[in-house]
Amino acid sequence: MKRLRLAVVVGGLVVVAACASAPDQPPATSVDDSTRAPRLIAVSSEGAIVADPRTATFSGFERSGRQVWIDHEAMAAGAEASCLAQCPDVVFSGTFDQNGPDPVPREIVAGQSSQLDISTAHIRRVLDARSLSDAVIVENKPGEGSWLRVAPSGTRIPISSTSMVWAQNLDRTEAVAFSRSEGSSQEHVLRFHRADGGWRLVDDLAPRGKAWGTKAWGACVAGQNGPILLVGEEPVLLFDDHRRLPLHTDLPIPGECSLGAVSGVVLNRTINGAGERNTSVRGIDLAGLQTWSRDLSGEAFVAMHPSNGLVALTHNGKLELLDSQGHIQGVRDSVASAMFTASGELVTIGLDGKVHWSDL
Amino acid sequence: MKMKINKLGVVALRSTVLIVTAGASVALSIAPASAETSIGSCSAGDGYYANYSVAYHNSGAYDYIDRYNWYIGKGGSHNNVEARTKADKNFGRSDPTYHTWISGDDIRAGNGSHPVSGVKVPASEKMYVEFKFVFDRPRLGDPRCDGHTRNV
Repeated sequence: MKRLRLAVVVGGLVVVAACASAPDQPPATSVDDSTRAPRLIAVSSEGAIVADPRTATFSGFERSGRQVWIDHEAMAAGAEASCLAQCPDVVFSGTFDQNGPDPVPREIVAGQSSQLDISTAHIRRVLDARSLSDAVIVENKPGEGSWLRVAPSGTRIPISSTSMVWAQNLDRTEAVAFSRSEGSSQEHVLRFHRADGGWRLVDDLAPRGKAWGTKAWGACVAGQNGPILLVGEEPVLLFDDHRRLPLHTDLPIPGECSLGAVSGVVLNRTINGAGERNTSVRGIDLAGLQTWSRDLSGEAFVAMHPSNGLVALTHNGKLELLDSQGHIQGVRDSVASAMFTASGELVTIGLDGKVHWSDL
Repeated sequence: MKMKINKLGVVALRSTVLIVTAGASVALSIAPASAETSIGSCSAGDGYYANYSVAYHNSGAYDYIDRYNWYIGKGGSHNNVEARTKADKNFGRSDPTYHTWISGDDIRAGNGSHPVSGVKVPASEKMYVEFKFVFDRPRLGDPRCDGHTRNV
């Protein structure tokens, strides 16, 4: 019997209200450079956000595997997507132009899209938000400068650039923020901890110019009392006691990372002159030393388990689970992307577009 | 805004191109090229050639260009390099340009690279980088070649 389905188009958002229990299924894909596979953007135990390069869409999946929304506008507009209090409820904010003006942030809650009246500033980029009243937002108003606004505390932290990196641990209790821009060496690495129903600035580490130079563009946070890993041209581990350990790998530029309680992973991506994408993946320990390596054709994605050192490595349409020494512990076929939840559940999206939660 | 005219006869503007701010400095930073640079190349004959590649990272649904890398196989110390990040729309001639970098007349032969920041390209785009090289040849005219990181 044909499944009944009601699709309502609201400003580029298609809210899919399924009248049957079967999930909406995106088309199957192959993995190559011309049809890049869908990838998980954020997950929780309740749901997941997926970005699909083939259709230039973001979509939201419930834990049941049902697709509850799909958005056709945000990716084309350069907006960032992050989960609200729980995935797949989402907030979209920002645009391509670093100088703004930014469109009004938008949320999709329970499949319903609406403007999020969280800021009236010229630039208004949500770094993390559980709700309207519990958020960290990059704001800029002409003539007034730029700042991070933390709600509900009302804290305003002046910043020199609105191009901010925000990274948080899986249970969203520890975070770090800093400017991505060059020439901001006097700006500090801001460390946040979640307490009393909101984010609190708990440490204002040394100016980044003294910490690691001026060329970091990504970060990973392991957890409470764990180190922060900053990646870019001069990668470094920063510890709570302000110790700094330079990262030593054979990668020319560790450009991305994932960090767990006992180990981490960094990677480097290239497009060669033949148009082929390659990914070099390196395991690291918390002393900043390289422990294993994999050089892979195509695009690979990595995710660290929060506590036990397992790495979910997806490449060429398969998932490998690796231990902290890079040894393969298990393989699953037809997986496009994988992430862990805060409790250590494995979330995967298959080449068939289905999203699945499982215990290891 | 800084302006200069290089040997390609192009006015170099440090400005925003189409969508993304060209925030990178024109200062050169020489770094070892990765192994992938040996695969893509263009040749101008008489032993003048260049290899090239791109380093990038991914964040969410977007790719960010980190470095343009090249190796100039022959030439003096006044070579020129241009690099443009584009999206393949199959138009053949009007692909949108996300970022343009044009060197000064001072690129030495051998390994070279240029750092890039803030160039954000949706993963939905078929991103590629177009390179152009002018080789510094004593006494005779400067040969040139171009190529791109595109498998189409």
